[in-house]
Amino acid sequence: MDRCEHEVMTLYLARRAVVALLVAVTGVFLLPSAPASAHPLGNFTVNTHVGLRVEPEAVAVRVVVDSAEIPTVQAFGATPPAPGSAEAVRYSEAECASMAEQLVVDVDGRRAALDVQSTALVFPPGAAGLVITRLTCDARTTEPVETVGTTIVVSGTPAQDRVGWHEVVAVGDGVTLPSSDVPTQSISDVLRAYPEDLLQSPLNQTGARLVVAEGSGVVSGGTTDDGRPSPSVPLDPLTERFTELVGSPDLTLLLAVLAFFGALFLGGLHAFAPGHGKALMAAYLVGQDGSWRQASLIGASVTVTHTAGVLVLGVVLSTLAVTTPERLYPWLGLASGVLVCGIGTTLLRRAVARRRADDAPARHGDEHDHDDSPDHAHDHDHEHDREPAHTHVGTAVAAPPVPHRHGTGPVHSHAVATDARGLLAVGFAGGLVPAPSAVVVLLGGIALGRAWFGVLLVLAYGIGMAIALAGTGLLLVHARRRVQRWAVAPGGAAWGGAAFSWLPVAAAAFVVAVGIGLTVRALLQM
Amino acid sequence: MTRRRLVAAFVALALAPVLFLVGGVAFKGGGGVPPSGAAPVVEAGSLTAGSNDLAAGVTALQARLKRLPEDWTAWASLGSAYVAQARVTADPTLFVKADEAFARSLEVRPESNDYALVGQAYLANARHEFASGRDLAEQAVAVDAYDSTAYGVLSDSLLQLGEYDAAFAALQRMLDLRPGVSAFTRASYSFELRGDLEGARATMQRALDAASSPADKAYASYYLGQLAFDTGDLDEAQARFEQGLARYPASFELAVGRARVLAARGEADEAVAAWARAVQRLPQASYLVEFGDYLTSLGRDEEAAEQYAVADAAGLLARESGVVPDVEVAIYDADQGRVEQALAAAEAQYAERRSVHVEDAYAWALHAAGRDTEALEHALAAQRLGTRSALFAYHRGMIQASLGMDAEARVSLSEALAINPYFSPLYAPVAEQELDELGGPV
Repeated sequence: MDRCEHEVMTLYLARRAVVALLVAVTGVFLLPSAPASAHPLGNFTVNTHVGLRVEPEAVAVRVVVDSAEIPTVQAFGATPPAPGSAEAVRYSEAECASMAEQLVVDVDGRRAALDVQSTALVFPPGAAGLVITRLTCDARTTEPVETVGTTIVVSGTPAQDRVGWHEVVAVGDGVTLPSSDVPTQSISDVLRAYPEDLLQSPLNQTGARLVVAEGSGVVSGGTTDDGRPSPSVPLDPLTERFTELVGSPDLTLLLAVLAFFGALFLGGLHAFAPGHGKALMAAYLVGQDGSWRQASLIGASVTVTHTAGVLVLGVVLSTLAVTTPERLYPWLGLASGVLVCGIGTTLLRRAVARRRADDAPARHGDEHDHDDSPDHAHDHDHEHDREPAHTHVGTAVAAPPVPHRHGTGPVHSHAVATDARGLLAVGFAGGLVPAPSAVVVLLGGIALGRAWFGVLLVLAYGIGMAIALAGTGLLLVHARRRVQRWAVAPGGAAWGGAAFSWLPVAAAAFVVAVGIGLTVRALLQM
Repeated sequence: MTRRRLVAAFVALALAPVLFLVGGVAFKGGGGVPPSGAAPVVEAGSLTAGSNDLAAGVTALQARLKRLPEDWTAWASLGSAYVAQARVTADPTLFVKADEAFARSLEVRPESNDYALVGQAYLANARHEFASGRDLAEQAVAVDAYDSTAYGVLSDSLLQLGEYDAAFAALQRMLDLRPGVSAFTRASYSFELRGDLEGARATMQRALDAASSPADKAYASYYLGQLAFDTGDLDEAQARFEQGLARYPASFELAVGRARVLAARGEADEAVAAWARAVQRLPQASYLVEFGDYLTSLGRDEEAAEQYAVADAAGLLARESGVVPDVEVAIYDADQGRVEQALAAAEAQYAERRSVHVEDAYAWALHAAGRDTEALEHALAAQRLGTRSALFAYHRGMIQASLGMDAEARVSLSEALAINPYFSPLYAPVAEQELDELGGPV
């Protein structure tokens, strides 16, 4: 079996392993979600959330209406329209317009008209195969309105006469609210988790009275988003489609599997978006002349870090009601950039040191030793006899110019340890900044009461990213080997050997440059 | 150094699945709901107007229990208040909360705690578990033979089980112990069951006079109006409903009563608007069916189908949460031609209890299945207390007509229309037509 066959085999096995993993993971995560539960507040409640955000020259209002199974049937009949369909859009626009019309925002006694900015409508699954409705309306005051120094009185909140949970929250953004008769945070997590305290009745807030004063501009608490981390993170249409898929009222196994592979694909695609760690990863792998094992380690590290990062961000966003994840991103970017700088510097130092040590002649052997990853060397000794390039290896091992790097036993274990650390760090840096679209998918899942599914999709997303990143890196490594084999072969280009001996240094320098770039970008965003 | 960093890397890797799990758990909020939800319960003696009073009472009790968590009577009262709220809102979590509140009360005072026992009986009745309601109420009576509420709840259970003699005895005991609003309203219902509508009216008037809370007053006003309506006295009914609404505009029952009168008077636009508002506010199956029947009688089949669809969804939800379908559901299914479903619902009820309402529903389901001989037996059993119900008489008459018992059918249908010519917008005309074919009223 030559190398090419071997790699095909490895790829095949890897693919089988991935498929097996997917099947296992999908099964585990889909089973518990099978029995749908009734609406926590009763089958015919209509629950409302009115989130007010007072800015110096505007009032932004988010209205969320969570209707249980019966009112959903009352509104749509037995089969609700597909999310995003013309009927759904018509319904949400009409409902939001009428809510904006009925909601009275009095600023010092003068009513400020509201404009609906955006609407969203989803149908999370309910009991008995029925669905429930979650309508979100975002509105803003039509005309600029000076709020500082005024008293704002809000009334006319929707569905007051219907049985259910009715809450109002208010925060200042760029202003403070020294007096307010409503809380700053939703204790129901914006109608997602109703408190089950024995001594707590459903809220019944139907208005608010706010005194507005000059202030720091720090958002104090706030109305969390309905599945979208922030309007300032624009969603590509693909992700939008995808979130809709997750929100589809009847989630069949087929649909779930499709969504899983969709997430895998999106993750892969995301890895190719500009500004991602793929250049870094490729540089690292090329510089170190990486193997499958190294690439998989990086991949695993990316997946784990990215998944954990998205989950942490998801927890932060959905529990702490932070409105502005974009404030978090530069920090994560900075951490990632500093980490990459560190990795690059280490690599650079090592590469330069090695070049100095290797100023002696046996350069080819040096390179070719690195060419072979440990498992090749151990498992496939017979290959060395067949491939011409490996005859050099034999020579090099026979006459090691730098003993501590070329010994047989300890060399490999040392290399593995060093590599594992670096590889994990590279993967960590690559996965540290959560992809906004993954966060959206997760929050979408949570919003729809399908948190586990959201988590599963985020995992798939990370795996997709990892496969794409590691794959790119390996392709480049492969290309490098081809070029190198040609360049250093007898009769090849005379400059080849010299160029390749500089490659690790160049790659390390590139990694440092990427790290500096990331750091500067993060700092500029702050 | 290297090892330490490696350890750190492994810790990070090992932590990932934990984060993963924690994440999943933390996000789960709002998911799991106990399956013990019950169907909307609306029956004589359980309607509560002005849920705001109730909410205020609940808030006061909650505040007290936060200060005094050992107050076992307050825990029992809170449980009962939750049951009362659940009857208005059909919120199944309130039943669960009520259950927990009673358990807390019994935790503090496990022995001789008749308050908690009465509460549990009340909860059992609300969940249509009348036999267990009776047993619990009997335990409460055994603890305190002078607990008037215990007798009241016991009589509720016994009435639903069809054990009328025992029920009336328990009710008499309640009246002897504390002749108040609760006793009078129950007494009024017992007169109504026995066909003494004048006695029912007079007793309900006493309840209204004795009532002090707006909720009680609205409730008594509604029943006085409804008693008038059930005898076809639209003027009296309308006066009662509108006077009541003027004072208690938030009362759901009074709004429904007014919609019925408007429908009976033929003021279709106003009636439909009133009905639509009512079922928007409180979409309980029995009201949805009644509104659907009214729309059908107007020839507005499409709108009727919308209401029936909502009622069907409510039925689906109730069945899924393991609730025995109500007798109204059996009658509705029979009217919709879903014979097997109707029979199953009625038989399930009949196996549990034999009240006159269950007999009537079972008779109607059997009639729909073409088993008229058996149906007549049960239709006559529904009549065993002498209840003057237009609907009972209509069902009996139609069954007799199917059996070719023309003379008896003619008497029954005449009786139905004499009791209340407006008893159903959909079936009163059917009764009239059938009666014409039989030779007109007796």
